[in-house]
Amino acid sequence: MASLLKRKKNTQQPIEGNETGSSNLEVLGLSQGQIIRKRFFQHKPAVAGLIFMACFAIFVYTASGIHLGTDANPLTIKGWWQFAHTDLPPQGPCADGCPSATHPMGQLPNGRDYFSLVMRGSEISLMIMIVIGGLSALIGTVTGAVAGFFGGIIDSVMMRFTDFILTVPFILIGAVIGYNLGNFGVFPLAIFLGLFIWPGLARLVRGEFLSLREREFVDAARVAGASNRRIIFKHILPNSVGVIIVSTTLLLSSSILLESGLSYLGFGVQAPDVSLGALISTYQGEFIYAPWLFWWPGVIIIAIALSINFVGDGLRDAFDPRQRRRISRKERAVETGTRAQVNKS
Amino acid sequence: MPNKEAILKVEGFNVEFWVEGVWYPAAIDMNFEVAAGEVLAIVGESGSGKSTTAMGLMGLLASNARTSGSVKVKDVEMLNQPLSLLRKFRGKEVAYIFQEPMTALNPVYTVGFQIVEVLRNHFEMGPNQAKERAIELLTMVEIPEPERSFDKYPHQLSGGQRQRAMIAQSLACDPALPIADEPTTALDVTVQAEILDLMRNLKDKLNSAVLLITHDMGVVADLSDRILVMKDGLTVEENTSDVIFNRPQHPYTQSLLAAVPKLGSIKVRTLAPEAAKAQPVLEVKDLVIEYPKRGRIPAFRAVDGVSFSIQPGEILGLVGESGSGKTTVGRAAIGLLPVHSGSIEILGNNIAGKKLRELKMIRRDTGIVFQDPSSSLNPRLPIGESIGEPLLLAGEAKGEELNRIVEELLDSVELPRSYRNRYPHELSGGQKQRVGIARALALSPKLLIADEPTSALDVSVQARFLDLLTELQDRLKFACLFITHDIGVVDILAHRIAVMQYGKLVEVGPRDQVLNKPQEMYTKSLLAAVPVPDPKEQKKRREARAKLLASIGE
Repeated sequence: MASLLKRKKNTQQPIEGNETGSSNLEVLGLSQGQIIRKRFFQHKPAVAGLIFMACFAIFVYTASGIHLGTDANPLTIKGWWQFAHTDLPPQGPCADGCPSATHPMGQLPNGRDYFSLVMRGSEISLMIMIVIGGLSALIGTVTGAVAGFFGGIIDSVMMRFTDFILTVPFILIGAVIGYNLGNFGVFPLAIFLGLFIWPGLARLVRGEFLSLREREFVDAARVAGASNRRIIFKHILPNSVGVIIVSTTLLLSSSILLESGLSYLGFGVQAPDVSLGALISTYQGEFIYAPWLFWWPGVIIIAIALSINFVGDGLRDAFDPRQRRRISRKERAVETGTRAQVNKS
Repeated sequence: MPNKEAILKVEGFNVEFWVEGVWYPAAIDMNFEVAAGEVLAIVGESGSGKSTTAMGLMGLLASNARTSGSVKVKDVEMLNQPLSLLRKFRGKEVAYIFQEPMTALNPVYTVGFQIVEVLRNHFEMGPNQAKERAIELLTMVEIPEPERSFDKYPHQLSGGQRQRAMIAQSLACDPALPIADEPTTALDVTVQAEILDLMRNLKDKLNSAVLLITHDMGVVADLSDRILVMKDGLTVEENTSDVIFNRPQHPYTQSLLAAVPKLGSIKVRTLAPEAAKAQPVLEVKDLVIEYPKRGRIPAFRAVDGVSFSIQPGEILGLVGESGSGKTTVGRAAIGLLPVHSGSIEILGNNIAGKKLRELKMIRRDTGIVFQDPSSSLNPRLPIGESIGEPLLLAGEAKGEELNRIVEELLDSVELPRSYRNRYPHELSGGQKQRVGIARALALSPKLLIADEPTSALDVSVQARFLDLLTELQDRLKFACLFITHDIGVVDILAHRIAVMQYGKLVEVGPRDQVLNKPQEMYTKSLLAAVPVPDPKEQKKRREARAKLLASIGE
């Protein structure tokens, strides 16, 4: 807080002195968005996480190609990797399927190329993550916004419903849905999971709305004749975007772990399709004899979850002005800046 | 006062903050001394570094600050010393009295517990002995029923009582140097006058050196022996109160003094006679507003049977202390609060009991300026958009035309047009409040409601803001309900004044009559409590007030 406040003071003082005079003294100010962006890009782990995610997504999708359409009528753009995850190439030089030049991540006992399986698994895991994250962010934000803004009976009813969803063990629900619907494919599973993990976000957004709706700018908008919809979406929502982004990134990484957990239980993605979690659960028994079958998907899951959490951390710090960096000893010894220098910065 | 021993000696004291790669100086080369039995006031506007200086003396600043120079309390160096040494002095020798008694007291402990805690930290004292001493302290600061107040929680006390409890806690160890940081800013004038009396008595009784930090020249005139004026971290002027108030040397001090509104120093603003006969813009009759009951807490009647009217082009000043219901009246008048009974007529249309949608037509004729400029503008909207919103929503203007009107509005509140793309946090408090006015005037309303628009502003900014409002009102001739707790402000603006207390209207009348010949006892005591920025005059007023209170038997 203090650093931001001080910064404000710097940019303001020259204006204040000039308040009634002419406007020839231009002081360069930063908009909220610029400040947030700047703070985000100062957060090194977050930037590293973002770059990793982008590179990894491009790598995965170009490697295994893009698969659309149904099983009977496939629409596929082929990737740069020579094997598809369903191919059965002959066993390589290594008898136990250890990594080699043609098969960098090794092979399964029946000859399937493990690299193509991991790529396919990552593709599915990323898709699940985006669907679950997007859907739950949408439901959670709208529920929380409406409940928090209107309050009273609407709030009570919606929040009791949220509590109800919260008490349902969604791993169990996911397992049941996966058992019954797993054959329809991964997409419905992702949607159903998305329908169950929004309550945390809804509660946070509601809390934010409860405090923001008491602010005077909401009254000001009301006096100006703004409708409820306009107040919610134009005035309050942009102010609570910090909370939404942060908890959505946390949801994203938890949805990858959730999918892994479900696949591990055997109710997620069905063979011959794979996901990262399914790969781990299938080959955990091979941990001693063919450890690469376990490590590759495991490391990728950890890397994705970590980088998403880093991005979430970076966003939270960027949106929260109370976050303050500690000052190093070297900085402590720097000469006092002149006023002109400060105003320029 | 060189003949007395200096308790606090500050030499070459600097405070700097680390901001985005540069050390930004907040207090530069401060030199001052405070002797026993003396009050030194540090005066300045917000951002001048006065509070930073006070906190920096005992190493209470945030971790992005560094201090240099020398600060000696009773000849012991305080600056950049180990915490174990500072801890012995904090509370015992140097005590702080903070601005917000609600946030400075811990809400989950009783007042008594918090005083006992301080005592037992610094002295070897049994619980019973400490309790006795705490009750003695509470008696000293004149809290009613000290034995019972000992077991009360901060929220059970009124604002003034809380501030007294804070003072009792600060004075628990008979500190040689109490530092009072804006001790009365959060309080009403009558309570402020009581706290100032209390502080003066205690200082004389304990013979301590007091460092008073404030922006209020009236408070300074009331209490201080010497004054140090700060601006932008620099010492502008230091001298005795008498010299500062009567023969200020530095132009900044002079302008600071000139900006303080003085009661009765302005000529009467007259209203055109034909306006007095016209249909009133706002007519409130027997207005009652209740906040509905919640659980076991019964309904609270915030406004009880208030009636008044405002003619076209007239400014009515609505004055009252906090909790008097004045803001409630203002918000109800623009349809933001439901009315329990009675009527509010704007240009002949009763708005009581109407739904928000039905109020839409009336919205065009009314505008409101809110109290807190940082809360009343949406932080994520550029100010141009905030100003243009009423026009856009009323369907008055769009696109290019809207641009043009927004620019005109910015001109009329004397803000550069280039500011329209700025966000509120890039503007100062005074500028934000101008944006608030521009937005309120966007639809050229016939009635403007101004809810304490100056209470968050510094005196010099306030003076410019009031000039602007007066000028706009002369030009646009809107009627105005000006709500404030500061009688000095009403004195500058209003044609008529209404005084509220406990939700009831105490007195309504022309400005001159209310200010110079008040009829009601409450108005008299309110006026007597306002400190004036002149030590001699203030001394007279203080004595007059004591006499007045004695005559009421309060």
